[in-house]
Amino acid sequence: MEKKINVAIYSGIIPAPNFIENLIKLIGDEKINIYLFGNKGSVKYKNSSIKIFFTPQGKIKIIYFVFFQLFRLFIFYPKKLYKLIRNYKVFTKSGSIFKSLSKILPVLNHTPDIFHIQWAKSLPFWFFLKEIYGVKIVLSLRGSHINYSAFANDSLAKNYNILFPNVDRMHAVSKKILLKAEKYGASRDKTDIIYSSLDLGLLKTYKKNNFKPHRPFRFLSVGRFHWVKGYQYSISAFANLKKINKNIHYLIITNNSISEEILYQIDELSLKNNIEIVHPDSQDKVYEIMRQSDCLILPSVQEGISNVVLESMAIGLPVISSDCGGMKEIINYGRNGFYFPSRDSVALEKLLLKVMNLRIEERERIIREGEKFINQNLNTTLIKSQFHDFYKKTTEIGI
Amino acid sequence: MKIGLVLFKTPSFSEEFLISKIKILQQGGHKVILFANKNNNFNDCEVVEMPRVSKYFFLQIIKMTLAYFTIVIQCPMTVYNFLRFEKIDGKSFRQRWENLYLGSKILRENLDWLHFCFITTALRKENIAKSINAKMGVSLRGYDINIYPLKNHNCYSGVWKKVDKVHSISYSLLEKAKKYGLDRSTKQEVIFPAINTNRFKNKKQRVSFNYKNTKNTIDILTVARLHWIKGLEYIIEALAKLESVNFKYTVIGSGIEYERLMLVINQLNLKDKVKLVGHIPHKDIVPFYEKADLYIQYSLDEGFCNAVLEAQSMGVLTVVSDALGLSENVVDGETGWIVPKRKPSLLARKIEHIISMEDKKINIIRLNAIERVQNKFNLNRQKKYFDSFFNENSFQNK
Repeated sequence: MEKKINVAIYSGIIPAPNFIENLIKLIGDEKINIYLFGNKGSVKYKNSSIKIFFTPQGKIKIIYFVFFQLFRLFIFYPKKLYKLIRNYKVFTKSGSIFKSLSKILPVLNHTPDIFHIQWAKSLPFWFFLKEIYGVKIVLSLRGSHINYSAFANDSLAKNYNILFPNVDRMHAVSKKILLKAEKYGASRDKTDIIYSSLDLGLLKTYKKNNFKPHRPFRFLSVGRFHWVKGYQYSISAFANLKKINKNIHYLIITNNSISEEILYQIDELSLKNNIEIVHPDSQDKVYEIMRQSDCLILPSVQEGISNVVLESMAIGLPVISSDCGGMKEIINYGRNGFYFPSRDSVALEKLLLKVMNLRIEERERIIREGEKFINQNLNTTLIKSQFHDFYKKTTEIGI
Repeated sequence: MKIGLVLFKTPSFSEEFLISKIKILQQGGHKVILFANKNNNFNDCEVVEMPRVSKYFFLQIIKMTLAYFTIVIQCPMTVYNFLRFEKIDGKSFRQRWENLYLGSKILRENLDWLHFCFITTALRKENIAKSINAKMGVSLRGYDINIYPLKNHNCYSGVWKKVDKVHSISYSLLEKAKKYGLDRSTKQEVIFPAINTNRFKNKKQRVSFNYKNTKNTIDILTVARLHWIKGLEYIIEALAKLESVNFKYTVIGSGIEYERLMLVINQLNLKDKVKLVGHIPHKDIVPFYEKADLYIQYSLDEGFCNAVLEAQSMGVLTVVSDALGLSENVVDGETGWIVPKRKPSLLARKIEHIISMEDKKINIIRLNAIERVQNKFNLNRQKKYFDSFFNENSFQNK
């Protein structure tokens, strides 16, 4: 019987963002144990292959926790403790020593075969696991950490250049993001492109069955208020469209409070009555609103692959996305959705009008194509086998 | 006269408009006291640090007790009046005593004028001036009027009722304040910002523009914090649309949106042409204007913008957005150009248009701008207006 692989999926917090949670739930099974390290919120997993080793919060709790973990390490893995003491710099180089140890010690007490880092900025901190303890390090190339943070931070770019070539294997969420990572020394040969996994079972229950748009026409965006989401462009486009077509409505689903920038723009363009901002308290409510909408707009200036676009396609909500990041890998223009040049609100306005004026048959065709794409390329069986293969290849390195 | 100016913190070097205001008042023979939450070693006048709120509950209780004890001993009637006015305004018991603590350092002073240099500094201090028999003034500036009320509805209603005179740095800002409840009958005066026109002088005889020859490089400059309200992202988008124009764009200023701007610069392949040089002390800024051919201030909102005045005074051709105060700062087609905001395509076309203009026409605009700034926005003129702002005798306390 094949030995089970122990994979730590590290995002820093438990539960992780939705797209990482989907991955965690998907891949833990009889072949793979999933270890989660980090500060814990409220989360329960039905899957017994998922094990949580959480770090408490609060100064006193952390001190107590560190002493307990040190004692455990001393009793069960004295060699690991000896190596840690010899390489004391790994826990003294950044911030508080206790805080660093509270992150490191649980990992040493439950050392995985593979340490899968979700956010590249954490790589410099955790790289010692490979250098000192021989743990395989894999990195997911996703989000701002690859897309733009290193542009504005020379020391981060330098760290990437040193560490990326030495990472055991990489997972890229799109072809485009791999191109970016290659500039920092990521190797194409050591990288697997695996798209995000979706909970298709759940999404199926929210599938649209009525293709006729509402009146007023309901545009929707989903995402936090952050400049990278490019809401200023969608609001400008919406405002211009409103001048010629008054029967439209724009709803933004977010999990944070509105930014001054967008608040100002909505007031400036007198759109208070036409743009609605909502904060649903569950993912189910988000999907329900998506089902009740007529078109999803993704105005971002940068993305890896937007999960909300994938979910919309699975639900049957027509999509207009900017051409940022890997979005063109998903959207086939006019076939399963539409895209416009990122930051071009004039082009977006034209597309909004185009989607509004689609005949029912055309809407249905685009929706069907979207669903087909998702079912063919992002079904859970496929993604799961891609990840299993990915981890298997990682463990075989150096054997 | 003894004038108290209320600020969040003492002015830094970059806030020249505040420093010059203090100097102007001192030159006019007034005694100026600065009330600020934070003192950054400011030595130009007496500074009184305002009471701060401690995050530790018991420490705060001790601080409040001491403040109450001191002020009741020093000026019991002022305290009585202040609490009475607060009660009349319908403030709760707790609010009244909290506000007494916050205003305790001002309440013990004997002032003729209490002037809040930003209207947000007047919040929760609306009854202080009346309690010490001083007149109350407020200054309207960009953020306070353009953004703050959007998040805090009706926040200035108490101020409008108590203020004796309002100073605005532009007419458009004043109009917007009226939208938020400023009474038309309240005394109000627009005093434009001013610059040291001797320092920002067009010393260099500029060579003629010959940008039609594409070998030439046009130097473009913006002085602004890296913040969304400055519209820098739109400028960079516009520059990417320029056809057959060689340019170098320099942004002076630091701020929270460095990452955002670096992304757009990289995405639009402008890394070699656009430089974010960070903060440059105001005293070292003149050479940048001397080098620049074109100055762009494409803000989404501005109270007025001193940097635009400095650029014009230095003879740099200036393009601005139509945001509030900027359209009073520049006269479109006469002293510079105004482009509707959030329209990078229009901005790009305007830059190309300027480049294609005849030298003669361009120089007329340049000279008009220099003349207008030298005549209308100099410190002497501002001094005269500030003197009259505080010297008015016909006041009756409300």
